Amino acid sequence: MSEETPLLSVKDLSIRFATENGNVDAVKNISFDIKAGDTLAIVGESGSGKSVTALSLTRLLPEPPTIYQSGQILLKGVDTLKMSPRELRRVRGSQIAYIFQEPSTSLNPVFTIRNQIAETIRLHRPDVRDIDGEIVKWLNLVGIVEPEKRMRDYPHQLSGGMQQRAMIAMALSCQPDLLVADEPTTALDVTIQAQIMTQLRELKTRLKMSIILITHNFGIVGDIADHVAVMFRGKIVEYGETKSVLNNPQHAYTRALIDCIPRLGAKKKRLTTIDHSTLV
Amino acid sequence: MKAFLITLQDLSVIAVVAAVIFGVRRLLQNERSRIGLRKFYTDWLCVAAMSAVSVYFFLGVLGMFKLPKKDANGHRITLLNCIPHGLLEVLLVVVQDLFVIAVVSGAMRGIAAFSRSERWQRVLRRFYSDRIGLAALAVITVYFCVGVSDLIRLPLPQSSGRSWSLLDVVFHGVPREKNYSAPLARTTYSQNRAQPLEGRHLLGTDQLGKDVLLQAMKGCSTAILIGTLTSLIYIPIGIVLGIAAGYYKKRVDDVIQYFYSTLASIPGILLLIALLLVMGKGVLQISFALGITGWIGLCRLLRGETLRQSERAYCEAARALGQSDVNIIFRHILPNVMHLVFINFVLGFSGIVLTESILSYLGVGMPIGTPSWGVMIDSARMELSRDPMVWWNIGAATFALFFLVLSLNLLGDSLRRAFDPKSV
Repeated sequence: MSEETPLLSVKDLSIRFATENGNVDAVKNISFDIKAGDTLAIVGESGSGKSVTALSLTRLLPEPPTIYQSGQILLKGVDTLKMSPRELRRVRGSQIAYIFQEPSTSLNPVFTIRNQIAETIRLHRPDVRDIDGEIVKWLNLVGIVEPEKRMRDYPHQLSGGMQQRAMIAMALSCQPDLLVADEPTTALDVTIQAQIMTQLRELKTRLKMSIILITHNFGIVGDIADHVAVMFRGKIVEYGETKSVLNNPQHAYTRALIDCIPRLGAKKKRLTTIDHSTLV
Repeated sequence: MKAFLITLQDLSVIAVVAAVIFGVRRLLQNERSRIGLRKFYTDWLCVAAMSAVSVYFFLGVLGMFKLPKKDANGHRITLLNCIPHGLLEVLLVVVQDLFVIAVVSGAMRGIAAFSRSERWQRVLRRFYSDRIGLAALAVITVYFCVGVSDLIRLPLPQSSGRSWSLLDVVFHGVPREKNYSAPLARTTYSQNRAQPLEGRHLLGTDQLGKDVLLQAMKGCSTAILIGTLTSLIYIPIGIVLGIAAGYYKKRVDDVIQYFYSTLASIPGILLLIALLLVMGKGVLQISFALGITGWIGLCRLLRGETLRQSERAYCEAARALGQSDVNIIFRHILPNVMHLVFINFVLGFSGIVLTESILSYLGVGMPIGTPSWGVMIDSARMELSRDPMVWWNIGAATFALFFLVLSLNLLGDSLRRAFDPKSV
């Protein structure tokens, strides 16, 4: 792999949901690249196609109704859209790992944390002998205190923030090249949100992995992302380096989104909302 | 022509057995199954159960090999007939013991493993405070012990030709009378020619002079044997089909739904009678017939629950981490629906015991002469119309049946209460 080849390169991807009530084009001709160690934030409101894009990377969307109409998803030069289910399973987890929005339901309620992390380690890294030691290492890394004790807990014994940390530890334990965090902080309260984001930023520099951060909150993008893609109605309307997008937004929708970030000390009676009729 | 057909059958039996052995060997080739196999070999329980099953399989295969020779009745002799009768009897007794012990200790170990998990401990704690449930469990345990003690046999033939069971050994002092006798009577139950009895019988004796209490106790073994064997057949079918329907949805779901809807649309007892008329009487036949008709309820239940569970995020998370479908089904969904299987098993058990009695009463269940409550009730048709009436035979069978079914239903209800988080 030469320096120029991106880790992941999505080209001209279009996704359609063919339902009985007609077709819905969820994603329309989007393209983006991620280099190794890079962080991309995909920002947009609900229904703009962010999560669909994320899930399509390893073909996690149920088919049918999902139809990949055009495009390529090149992971290290190999098109995941053309992979067999077996190859896909190998990619999932070991190369692209996911963190989901709702930590409380993402963990299986009847197993301990240790059990669940051990399962993924055994699946993707069969050569690891000291599985407990490995689990402790990752739980430590994501900032869980007393990992030896906590790993024997069931998900319901952990707080939401701890659950999300355990989820992150589970995703990281397979040592993926790319971590897809699909609104990882939406279900958590604001202080925990900040902690988790700090944790992700730290992990990113320490493990040198790429992250795709999916969020509807422009406020958390600036600190962590190198690049930003703004999605609106299935299209990427603006794509560029974080600084330039934040400082000099080109598209009306991006400007509207940035205006929606509540600012400390700003004296406003009402929070800004987006008037969709003015947008094309 | 006949010789040709027999050779053809022998050849096809060889082919099927060879294919099974070859297939198993292929399956065991990869690293993962080899590790599993090593674990399996070091586990005496698995080895015991497996060896029992393989002896049964082996004997079954031998029974299918026909030799070009006829016996006195004009039937073809099979290889099974070539084994000396005494040896076969001893072998069957030993294998049956092995199987019973393996199933019982397997169930014990399963319960022990479950009760270690924190979720089940919570359930157990709630269950312990449920007095009715505990009482029902105690009654069932008594029934179970009696039944198992009649299933464990010694390889020694009795005068009647059946081998001794533990229960027979314990009650071998109970004398056998010549005819009916009323409970605790001193003479036989006859108005003109009453003869003195050799002993007192708490519940009297039946037509052949056997002690009714002992017969009722032996009925436990039939009930428990059929209940267990049927559960071993229908629960795996129900689990696999139910979860497959709920997990894969679409066409798999359509096919499975079509399958069980068709089966459910045939009146149950009619289907059972038809199956038994084809296959004949006997424990295995009844278990098989009940097993292949009994999975519908469990399948429906699990399908619905799996539809709900598979939409939850942990399934998606497992898929996103690269787990295979089989792994998700057995390691993630199954533990989450296991309590339903458990409740269904307990409630289904009483249904099976009842159905066995009904079938025996209708004359298509257990063969006459086997200790079964259904057979006892069946014989009461004549006894109740006698003058004076013989009531203790049907009474004993009915009460034995009633208390087992009642306790099973009560236990099922209290398990449901214990598993239901809302009922605290």
